[in-house]
Amino acid sequence: MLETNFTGWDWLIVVFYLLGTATFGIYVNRHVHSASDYLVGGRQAGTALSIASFIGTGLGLVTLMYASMDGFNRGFAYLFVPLVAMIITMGLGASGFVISRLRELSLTTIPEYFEIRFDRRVRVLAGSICVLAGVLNMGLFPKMGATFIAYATGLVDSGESAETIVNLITSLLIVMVLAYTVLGGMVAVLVTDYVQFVILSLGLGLGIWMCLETPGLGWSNIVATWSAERGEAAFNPVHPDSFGWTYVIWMICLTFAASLCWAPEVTRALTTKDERTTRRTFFLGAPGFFARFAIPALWGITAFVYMQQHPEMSRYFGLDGNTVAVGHSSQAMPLLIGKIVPSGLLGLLVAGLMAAFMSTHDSYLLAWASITSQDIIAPIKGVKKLSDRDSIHYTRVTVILIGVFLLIWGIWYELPESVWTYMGVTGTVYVSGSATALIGGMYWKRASSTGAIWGMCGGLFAIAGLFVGSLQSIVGESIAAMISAESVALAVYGLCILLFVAGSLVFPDSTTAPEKESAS
Amino acid sequence: MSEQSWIAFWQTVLLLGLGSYLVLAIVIVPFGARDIYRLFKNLDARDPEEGDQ
Repeated sequence: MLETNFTGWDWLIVVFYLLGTATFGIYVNRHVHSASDYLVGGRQAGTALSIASFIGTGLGLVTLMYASMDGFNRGFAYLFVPLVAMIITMGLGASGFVISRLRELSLTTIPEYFEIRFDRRVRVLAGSICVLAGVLNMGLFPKMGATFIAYATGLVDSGESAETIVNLITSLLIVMVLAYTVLGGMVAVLVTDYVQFVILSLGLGLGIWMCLETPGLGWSNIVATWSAERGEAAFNPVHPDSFGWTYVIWMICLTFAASLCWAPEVTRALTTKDERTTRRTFFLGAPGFFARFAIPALWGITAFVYMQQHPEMSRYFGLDGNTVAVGHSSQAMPLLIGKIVPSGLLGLLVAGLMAAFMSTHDSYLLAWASITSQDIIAPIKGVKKLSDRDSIHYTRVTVILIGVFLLIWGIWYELPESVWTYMGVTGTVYVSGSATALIGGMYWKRASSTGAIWGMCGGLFAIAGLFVGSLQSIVGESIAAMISAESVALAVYGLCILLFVAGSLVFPDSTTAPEKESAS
Repeated sequence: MSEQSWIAFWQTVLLLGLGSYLVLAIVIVPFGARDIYRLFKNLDARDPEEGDQ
């Protein structure tokens, strides 16, 4: 039942592609001459390369997995997420809101801004919360990626235990991505992101074409099946049986805040050659933010229809109404791709998606590691800026430490039922407080260091969103019905704003914002 | 909005969104390669001591 079209030839394509990409990433190290080259590519990236890297970073295998899971579970209604992402990214590019100022300041990391505008304590706090939230958020990536590979290639049908196979693939991928992130830095990230953007664009197009052209599938059949099975809830995101208003509003807040300060993606605003390129990158790259969620969601939507048409699969995924299949939704999209894409093309597609896995990892690893070295280690050592040698050294050591954590976490941690919600909640821990302090710091003269610290600490309450079940059991039934991950996370945004404003008004700074920025 | 309106809405959004992405990809591929060439050239030509711009 779990066999796919993946053959030995496909493995050959994958191995050659991955070896080629890793070798290329290591080779470009010869162009790295300073810490700036290593961390932000010397701020020399042009518009097209920035857009490719901007999209390549966000278009990871993990994104494909969680978007397809929500497509499989919720249908077309999930498409509101890519739509919101596209509109917000385009709006930021058109207005230059926050991102223009970030680039003008020639920063290496986002927390660096907090020292310029507020003080060193705020920078260290922002850096610490950012790394905590980021590494936790990233902790789910390896297992998600390995699950895709194990099911799309049909390896789980080989007789070995699925868990052993997933763990072996996880370990192998982490070692490869560590090698070229450590050796190449941001230049390698920019170049490999570009290569992966090209391959992935072809792969995504191929996947969509196969979904629409395979007999039994196609647009009309897909829409008709969802309509028959779920009715309006499959298409209307605010329908009571779909996501609902609270979730939709939370997603708008999360997408907006993450676009401003989620380090791996906003780092692209810092690597461009000038402020104009930053704005163009956001504005022109917006369709990429749509495609990165919408295409895998469509694969998941199609997987639902495909599984419905095969009784054995329908039972396996719990779609027949008689069985319960907990945690199987992550396997639906990889199985669909493995079954409908022919051998040869499947090898290319899997190679592209494995490369996407590495592309996301290298950007994330570099983002969290550079924040650790620049915003935690440097201030703790009492220096304004680490030397080039120390900067690269600490970044590399942190990359390896995070890699070790991912290896352990990836092997031992069980995937939760809703990966996207988990990621949204862990992301909220950092972006809710930081986005508030970032916007307030730039556009409100009375914003103070205490307000920024209070606001950022408010974001930590989002962790409660991971323990919704426990919270519901403590409170009464009527209140329990109102508690969900999305309601907790949404409330945290309000709390951060409230704490930020209160802290700023009660404990104002002695020097004004323009004085601080000019002094820096 | 009725179910049919939602279906028409998502069909339009998908056509526009994925169509824009296709155009973007066609433009990015050649110009991105040019940017990589320029990136390497600029990094090699820069004095490592000169710092950020």
